[in-house]
Amino acid sequence: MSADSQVPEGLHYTKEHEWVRVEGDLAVVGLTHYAQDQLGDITYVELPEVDSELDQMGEMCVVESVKTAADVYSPLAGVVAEVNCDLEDAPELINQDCYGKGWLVKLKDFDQSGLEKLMDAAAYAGLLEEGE
Amino acid sequence: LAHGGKLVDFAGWSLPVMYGNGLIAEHLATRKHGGLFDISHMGRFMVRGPGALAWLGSMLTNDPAKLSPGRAQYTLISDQSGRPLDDAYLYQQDDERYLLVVNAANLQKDWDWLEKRPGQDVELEDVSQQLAMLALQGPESEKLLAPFLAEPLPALGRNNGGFNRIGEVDLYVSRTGYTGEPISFELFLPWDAAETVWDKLAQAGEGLGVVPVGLGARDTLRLEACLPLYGHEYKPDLPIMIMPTARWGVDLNPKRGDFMGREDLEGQAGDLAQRVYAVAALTKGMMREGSPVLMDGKEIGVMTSATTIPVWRFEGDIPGEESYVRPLGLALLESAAQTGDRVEIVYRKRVLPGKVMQAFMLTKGSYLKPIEFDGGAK
Repeated sequence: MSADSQVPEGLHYTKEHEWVRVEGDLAVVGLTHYAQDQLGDITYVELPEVDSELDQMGEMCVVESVKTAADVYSPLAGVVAEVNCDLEDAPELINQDCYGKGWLVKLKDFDQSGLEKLMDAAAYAGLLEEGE
Repeated sequence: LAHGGKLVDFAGWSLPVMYGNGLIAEHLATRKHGGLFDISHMGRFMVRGPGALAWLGSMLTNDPAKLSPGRAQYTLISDQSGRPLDDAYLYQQDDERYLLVVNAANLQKDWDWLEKRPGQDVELEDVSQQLAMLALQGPESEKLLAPFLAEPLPALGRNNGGFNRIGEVDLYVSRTGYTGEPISFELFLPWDAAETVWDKLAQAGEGLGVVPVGLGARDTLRLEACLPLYGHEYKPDLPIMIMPTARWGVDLNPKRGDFMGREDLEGQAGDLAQRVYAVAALTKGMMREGSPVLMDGKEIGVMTSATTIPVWRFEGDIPGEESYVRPLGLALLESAAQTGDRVEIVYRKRVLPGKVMQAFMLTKGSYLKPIEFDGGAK
């Protein structure tokens, strides 16, 4: 497996294995390839309410696989603008395309300065290597 | 690990929780085609001698006198007060030769218990490290296994078995398993021959869609078939008879002599405050072991095993191409509950509507077909 396909450039990462992609006024949040691989087959996602306010590293949603449950934390403080409703019918999108169709939440009015606390691709890839 | 699996530590063994394609793919492949399992971690005790039958009859809840060479039965090891030390499977291989298969996590406890209570003219030996154990389960398993066997397959019908050979390897083949599959086999074979036989079966299985299956899917397969797991449905401090399937493994025939736990088991056969039920959630969601179960707002028990379990959407009596997942489980509930009762399952911040079921699957030809329930997930 090549590292760049698993940890795309241009995204911000948390050590809890969430990613953030800034798209204009919105911050798109999802789970990293490593996280979905560790969870195994994902069968259910409990998404937050639209318009709910989240703290940086506060609880955002719960992702369930057959084996285990994982709390997903919001990488940034912000307000939920949109949730990925496709995951209700097809939670496996997270396994299949974690950086694309398997996104979780879009945040608006998010705290830009919070981005500084997150890792870039190189730092996150380094963290994964350390863990292995 | 040749099949690219993930390993976990389990009862001192390093075991594959899943192989290459993940737990859901393994579960679904077993139901549609077949699954190959290495279950050598389980405990295997050989019981031999002219006194074997009498001794087993005094130590186990089922009556081994009902067996004959080439037959097997579900049974339990009870303590003096009708509490389970373990549930087990007993295979009569020959006139004075039996194999007792126990749970890996209980192996030492079971051994200590049995060894301290020796019988006349009976020899007990732990052969867990000498005999390996493979399982081949699912619709195509007979087609896959038959060409390898030097002798005919065991007679049709669950629990039939017999000695056989694959190449130069002597083995014992039994129509048994822990998946609920109507066509299922377990193989007992010398430890040092297991890898060769595994490789042969795995390779031939590829053409039939039969895949290696790890412990993760082994658990979802047994749960979907409403089979108990020690430590979840059976607990050392709870009566054996709370699990309805225990009735198949406890023989209280008055003509049968006394056996360990008999008096208490007779009491349990009357009425129990709680028993284990199958519970399905009627919407998407999740439930897990420990989730409270409510009826009319009042807690009546907890889930003892539960998760989301994948299932094929059937076209008639044949599995189709699409699958979905259902939150299913077993629950220890007040015994007033009845099949069809509506319940609610609490998991984290959510409350799921659920229903008490008789079963989740039923046998249709060579397949296990899902029982549809109103409001079922999708």
